[in-house]
Order: sequence, then C-alpha cells, then structure tokens
Amino acid sequence: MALVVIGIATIVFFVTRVIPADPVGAILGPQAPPEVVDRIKREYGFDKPVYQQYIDFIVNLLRGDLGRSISTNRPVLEDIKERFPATFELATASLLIALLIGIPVGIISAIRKDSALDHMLRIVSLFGISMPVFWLGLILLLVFYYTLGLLPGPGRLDPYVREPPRITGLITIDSLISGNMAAFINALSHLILPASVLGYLSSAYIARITRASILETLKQDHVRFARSKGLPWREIVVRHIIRPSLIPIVTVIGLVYGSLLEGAVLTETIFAWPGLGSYLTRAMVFMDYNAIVGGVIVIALIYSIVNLVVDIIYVYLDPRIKYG
Amino acid sequence: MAPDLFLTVLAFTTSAIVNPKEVETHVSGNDMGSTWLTDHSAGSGPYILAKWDRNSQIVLKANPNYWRGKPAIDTIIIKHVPEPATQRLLLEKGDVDIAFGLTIDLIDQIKDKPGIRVMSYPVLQLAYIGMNVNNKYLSDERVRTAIKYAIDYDGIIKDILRGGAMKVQTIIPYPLLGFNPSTPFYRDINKAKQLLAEAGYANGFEIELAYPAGAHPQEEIAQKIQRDLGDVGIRVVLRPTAASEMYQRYRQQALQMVLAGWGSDYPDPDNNAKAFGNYRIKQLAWRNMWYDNTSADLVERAFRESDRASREALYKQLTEYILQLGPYVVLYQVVQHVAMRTWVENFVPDPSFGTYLHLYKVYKEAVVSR
Repeated sequence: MALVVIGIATIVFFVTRVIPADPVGAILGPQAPPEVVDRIKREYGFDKPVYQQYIDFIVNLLRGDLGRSISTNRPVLEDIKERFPATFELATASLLIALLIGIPVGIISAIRKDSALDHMLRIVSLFGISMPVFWLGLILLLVFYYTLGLLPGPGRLDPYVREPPRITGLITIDSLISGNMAAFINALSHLILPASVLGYLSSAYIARITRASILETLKQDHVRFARSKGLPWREIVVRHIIRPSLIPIVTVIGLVYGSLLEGAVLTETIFAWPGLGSYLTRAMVFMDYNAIVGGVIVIALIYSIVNLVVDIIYVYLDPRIKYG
Repeated sequence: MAPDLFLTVLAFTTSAIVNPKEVETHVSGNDMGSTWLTDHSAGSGPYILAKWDRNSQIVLKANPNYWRGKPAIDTIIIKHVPEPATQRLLLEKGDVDIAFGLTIDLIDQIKDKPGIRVMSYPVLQLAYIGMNVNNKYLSDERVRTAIKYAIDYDGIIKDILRGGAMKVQTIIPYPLLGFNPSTPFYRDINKAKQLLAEAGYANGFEIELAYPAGAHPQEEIAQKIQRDLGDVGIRVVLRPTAASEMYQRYRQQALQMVLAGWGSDYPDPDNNAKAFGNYRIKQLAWRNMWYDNTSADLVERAFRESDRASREALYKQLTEYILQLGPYVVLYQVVQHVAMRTWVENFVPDPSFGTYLHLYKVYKEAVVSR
C-alpha cells in the first residue's frame, strides 16, 4: 500500500511539474510585479531544479508533511483534515441511501425479470445514471427547501444552532458525543438533500450490478437443484441466490464509496458543502502543486483502504477465497 | 509623491492599522504575526473576526469599543455559497439578506420581485485587449487603430454583458481623478478596412487571441471579437488558455493578443497609469512590449505632481495619448450587481470589487412577519 501511494505521488508530482503553468502567477493574479512572483517562488521552493524538488517532496512525505498549499497558505494536511470530515459524512450518508435503494431494486427487478415492475425500476435507475446532478440538486432545493420549507437550505448547519465542539469533524457524531440533540437533528436534516442526490445517482450503479449478478446466479445448477428439491422460493432467494451474487455487488459498492469519498464537486457547489471535491478542483484550476499532489495521495489511500476492506469481505462471503 | 496618492494608499485596506502590542505577542518565526492575523482581528474597525470556517463562513462580531460607537448589528455572517442559483433561493426565502454572486440572468429574474432590491455600481475594473507591438502586424499603429474601429463595443456591452458593463475606452476607471469619458471608437468597418489597406494588409492577416479558458463572459467576448475582426479580414485564432499558464506567458511577453482585465490595486489613478503607461515597471505596457518613453515620463511626472489640478491635467494628457497610440483596446468598465432584501438599510457598495465592505452603518428594519 505504501508503494502504491509513493508510486502515485511520484506520477502526479511529475505530471504537475511538466505542465507549462505557473502556480505562483496564477495565485497572485495578473497584476503582481515580477519581484513578488520570484520571492514567493523561492519561499515555496519552486525555483529549485525539479529533481531537487522531488527529493524534498519525498523526504517530507515520509515525515507525513504534504507541504503548504499556495492558495490557502496553510499546510495541505491541515486543509484536508478540515475538508475530509464533511466529505466523509456526506459520502457515508449517500452510500447508505444508495444501498437502501440500489440493493432491493436490483433484487426485485432480477427476480421479476421482464415484468412491468422490472421495466419501471430499470427506467428509474437509468434516470439516476443519466440525470445531471446540478439539475436534480437545484430542483430538490427548490421543492423541499424553498417551496415546501420541509428541509433546511444549503450548508452543514443553520447559523442559529449552537455548534458542537470539533472532535471528529463529523457534525452528526460530534453533536451526539456532546449531547447536543438540536445540532444533531439540524445536521442530519442538512444531510438529507445532498445525500439523496448522491445516493440516488449511485444507487443506479448498484441496482444494475445487483440485477445482473443475481440473474447470473439464477441460471446456475445449484439454484435449479434447490428449486427441484421443492424449497420455498423465499428461502432459495435468501440462501442460495443473494449470497453467491454478492461478490460483484460488494466490488461495485467499494468503487462507489471510493468515488463518493473523493468528494463531489457539483453537489458540494450547489449545497455549499465544504468538502474535498471543491478543494481539489480549485487546486487544479490554480495549479496548486502541493494541494493537488496531497489530495491525490489521500484519494489513493482511500481507494487502497476501501479495496482492502472489500478483499476482507470477500473472504467472509466466499469460503473458497483465501489469502496466503 | 503626490499627497493625494499617499493618503489614498494609506486609507486603503492594504495599509490597515493593527495594534502592534497585540500582534507582537503572536509572532512566530519572522512572519510578523501574519499567520495569527489570518484568523484573528487586531484592528480598530467596527467588526471583529470571530470565526473563519474556510470555504464555509466568516463570522463577524460587533466591536463594542469601536470609536464611532458599537454598530447596530451584533453578528454578521458571510456565507460561502458558490452556486448562484442557490444564492437566489436563499435570498428569496429571506435566509440571507444580501447576495453578491448572482449572475445577470438571475438578477433579471428577481429584480422586480417584492421585497428585493438590486443595486448596480461600477467597480474599478477594466476589460481590455492587449496587443503585443513586437508582433509584425500589431507593431503598425494603423493596424492597432483598425482593430479599435473593427470592434462592436455596444454589442459587447448590450448583448453579452447586459448591464454588467459601462462604456469606457480610456485606462483610468470612473470615478477616479483623471477619468477621461472620451469614447471615440465605434464599429466602422470601412474605416478599419481602409486603415488596414494603408498599412499594406488589404487582405488581412492571421493573429492569435489568448483568453482564460472556461471563463465567462471572456469566452463569449473572445468569440464576438473573432467575428468582428473577421469582418474586416483579420483572422483571429482563439487560444483559450488556463489562467495559470496564460499569465505566465503574458509575463514572458509571449502572447500576440490577449483578452484580460485590470482591477485597480488602490483607488488612485496612479495604479492604472503605471500598469498601462509605464513599461519601466514591467506591467502591462512591458508585457505588450510598448516601450514608449513619452507615456512612461508622463506617468512618472503625474506620480510626483503635488497640485491636484496639474495632476489631473497630466492624466488627461496621458489617457488621451494611450487612447490613440497605446497597445490596448479598452472594452468596458465592469458594473457589479448586488441583490438584497428591502429590509437592509444603509448598505454602501464599494467600487473596489468586493474586497472592502462598509458595514458600520448597515442595519435591518424590524421584520414583523416572514
């Protein structure tokens, strides 16, 4: 895992340095005099030869230092620590919604293959894959916040709510720890709309894979055998169909979760959610070297961890899989 | 140095006064306390920075010791809402009082709604085309004048910016000292073609125009300029370039034509005069390789002139000179819009494009029912 991270860090490091852009100029804007540009370049070490910058970078990386972001003028690690909890909270809530929709929809439409219900569910999930997220987000805000007033507007917490102390950075968890129920309910209601948008969109992938995987299992001999034994259909589905179908489903869930944890720029923008996606996008626009490399390292770590967890789950699902 | 200029810079945000005793206790290394100051107040303004959640909100609390007395509003929250359509919903719902980031379409949609007021005001920002005079074609003054006559300024202002701009063609923005309201250039295809023919380019030529990729309204303006110049035979190749790369190339004097902007760094004509007129300080004149000593000398004389009337006369001379001979087509001055609830009173917009907020006198009328 460490090798993967260092490998990715190296690639991204050189890609950012190859692009003929000037991060200092981009941050200081068109008006800064050349002396100032040069001084800031020296401050960040961008005036050194690339191999020297790379050595410094790797040495710092091994010490857990990702360098300073040139646009926020703070350590990249601090920035990410501030942004990641918001993304983690939203991604996890979204994944829960995606699972709650995706798995049952996939199972039902596989078992009732080619029925009217199957077609309807497939159309709904096709919508999920093809729907522009900014449109869906704005429509939900318009309906549930503006018109009906049922749910709060953008942001993570309303200004009139007393903020819980920052412990994990996850407002829902922090408010529970500190026993601040008002903040918990408020934070949870702020999560509903953005998590529904992302959850619905992701549920489409999960539903499709679930359906395909279950259809595949349905064709297998052991299912035919179970049916010929005269087992009740419900029991066949639960014991002989769902469990063997889970491996590809878990794989997709891992990928979906990984991509949710990268942050979702458009959703974050519409719901004024201070997450990782908008941070990274901004870093790329301004060619903020350290922030880009740092962000990519974090994403690589997330994927590695999610993959590891998925691999461990495989072992539980399929006793034939063993890691030597 | 002109006393007016000195006082203007002194009174601007860049030289805000902080309490040295307070700041000195928070120095780390040789940062002179700047790291601590990022998140704390040590000034004498009407509000104190209470909290800054980056990319989320800034919370300001009224300063009870403010020398003119405590301001009317206790807490002001500046929320970061990047999506304009979301800002509109918040404003209409009454959950925010003032919205700074609405696009012109949204302004049009809400400006007549009850309970909402829109203020429009010019800010100290000019949009211009820079023409590098080292270029074979652009080095000819007749070619540059032809380009100035080929562009449809009114079309850009009315159709693309729709209220987001006022017509200005000189290099000092309204309402600074020395602002020159002269707008002699208008679209005249025949005149432009005639000037090109005199310069020996009756069949036109090909030229590159760089602009920040994906930026609006720059993209629309660049396309319009391509069409406008195409009508007189100049074939414009558009070069949308990432801002980080574009400014680097601009600094290296490596662009042919560029669509860019200049916001005054302080509200005195000296800033724009230097940038556009004095190549010696290596800003816009230098980047466009316009090494004109008449202009540079005028800028330096105006900088030193202590009599306001004489200084104004020098700027009049300078703006006129650059208008006719300079390597710039000034397209417009930016007009900004801010939408607010009618219950907000005494909001004073500032022309320094949003970097400065006058909040001392702002208050909200009591709202009985919402």
